[in-house]
Amino acid sequence: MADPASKPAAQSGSQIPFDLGARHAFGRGDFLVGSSNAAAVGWIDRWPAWPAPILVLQGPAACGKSHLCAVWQDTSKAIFLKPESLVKEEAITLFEYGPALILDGLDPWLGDRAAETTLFHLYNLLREEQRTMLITLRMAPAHTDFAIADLASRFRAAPVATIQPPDDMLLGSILIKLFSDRQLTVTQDVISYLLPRIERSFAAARDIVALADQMALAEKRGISVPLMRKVLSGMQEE
Amino acid sequence: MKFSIDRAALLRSLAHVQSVVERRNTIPILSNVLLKAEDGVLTLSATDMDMEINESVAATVSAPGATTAPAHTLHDIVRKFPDGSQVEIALNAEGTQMNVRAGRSDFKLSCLPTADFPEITTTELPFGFSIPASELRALIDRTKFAMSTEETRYYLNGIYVHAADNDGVAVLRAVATDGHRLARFEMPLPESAGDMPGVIIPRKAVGELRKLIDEAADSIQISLSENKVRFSFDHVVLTSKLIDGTFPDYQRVIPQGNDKIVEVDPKVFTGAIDRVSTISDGKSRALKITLHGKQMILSASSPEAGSATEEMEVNGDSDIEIGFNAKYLLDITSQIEGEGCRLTLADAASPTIIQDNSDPSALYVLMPLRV
Repeated sequence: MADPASKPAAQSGSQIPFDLGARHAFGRGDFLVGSSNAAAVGWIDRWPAWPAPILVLQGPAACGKSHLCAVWQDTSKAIFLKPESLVKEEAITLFEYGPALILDGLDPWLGDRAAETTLFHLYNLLREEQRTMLITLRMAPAHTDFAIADLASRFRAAPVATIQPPDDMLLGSILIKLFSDRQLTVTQDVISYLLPRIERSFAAARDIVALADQMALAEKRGISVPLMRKVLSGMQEE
Repeated sequence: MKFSIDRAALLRSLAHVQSVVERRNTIPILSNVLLKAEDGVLTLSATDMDMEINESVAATVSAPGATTAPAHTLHDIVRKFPDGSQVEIALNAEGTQMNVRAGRSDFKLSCLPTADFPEITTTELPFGFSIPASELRALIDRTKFAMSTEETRYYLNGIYVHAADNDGVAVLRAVATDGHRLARFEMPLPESAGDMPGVIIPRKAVGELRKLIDEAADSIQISLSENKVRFSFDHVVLTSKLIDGTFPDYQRVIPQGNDKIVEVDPKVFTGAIDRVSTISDGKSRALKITLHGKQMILSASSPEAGSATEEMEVNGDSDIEIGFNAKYLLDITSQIEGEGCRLTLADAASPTIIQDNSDPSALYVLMPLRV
């Protein structure tokens, strides 16, 4: 995402605020379940009864894949692997990091022969030792170009838990949660104003909340409908 | 209850406790100060439910007892008594009215029963340490101006105090920010403060404490739990709830890679900012600083008021143009007591670090205005 501070409040003489960030609540109870992600949550809850060594969690940006990884890590005691470690370390080294593994955000490495080779060996080790790995992707494996055909077939045979775009009820709850992650409380008026006016996606919710936080901080205001109107009009001018 | 007390001693204590009492209260008892007289001591207590203060002062008690009376009214009355007078206070037999007399003045104040007064909590505060009053004054003075006053940012409405490590040195660190500027002060970690939780002391408590410790000469005992803090010194005990929020990861906004260093005389710099900003426009008080080698030009303009510039010599060799809110700059430069003030800049859209050359205990970070 582009720097939120540079977007809607960019007129000369305006105060640039600090980027104080947000602390995202990644607990099981903080994950909001709706019809769009209930199936994915079901797969996470079903562990360790997964039919394959890997489960692919697929969905668009900011849809909660990393959050579900954190939820699963809590129950499985899995270790997060950095995807780039696939080209830096041997499969056996990665395998031995923990009893279960997570590769969050693998997309950029699919198509890379070296990374796929390590991943293929890692897959086989997991299968032999009956261990599991959770992999998150934005693109479905069926629409991904793999460099190694054997790895492609294993991915396409693996269960894929897909997170669909949110419905209004879930999107509203997500907006409240995202504001809450930034220790900001919002009224239902603000949520009702936003819902019909923003793109129905997790990423749009994340971006609008980040922008609202930055503008409110810059202008020392609370989160209100007039502020959200200003944020949205600033986004349209971009 | 009946006692007499020197007017100056009573006024001093009343001034402390009445300050905690809100001017407008929907709960009448919270407008009152609790007075307890026994064993030659008058104890005054007040609370706003978030903060409570207790202060003891010597008095000649002829009949022990307790009552509650309107804090601000009693303070105003005692304040208007002549200096040097002796104040006599007596509660009627029914406990409904308090007689306040000094010289020829005679006041009758309505009282509320002590049973209605909120019980002063005695929660255990497991962490404790003491620090010199002068250090606590510096800790507050160097940071409080940067606290947020925006109520929805409740977690910034105070000073965050915590134990930290600065290059291997254990320090007690205080940080405040309103999202536009940040002030950080640190001092050697007091003995037994290492285990303390990080706490956000609310703005009102900071203000009250600062007033109280103006007169404190020795050390201040600080006791803490996860949700309360208590400051004890002389005959005063101030207890406050802490802000129930998470202070942001402030380290991320303190830049590490700024490479443009400029040193200025803080007095000359402050004077120039003050003069040029007379012309500054609107709420942002925009002031432009243009650095060109050893020359700094401060300028401001306003469509209505006109324009202003002032040049000054600096120690440095950087070329940059950057805008700041003049008030924010003045708030920071007024904290600098040494001979030299160092600005460490990156570019026109990034935070600038400002420090007193001779005092590494305080560090200030200021976000610019878009120019």
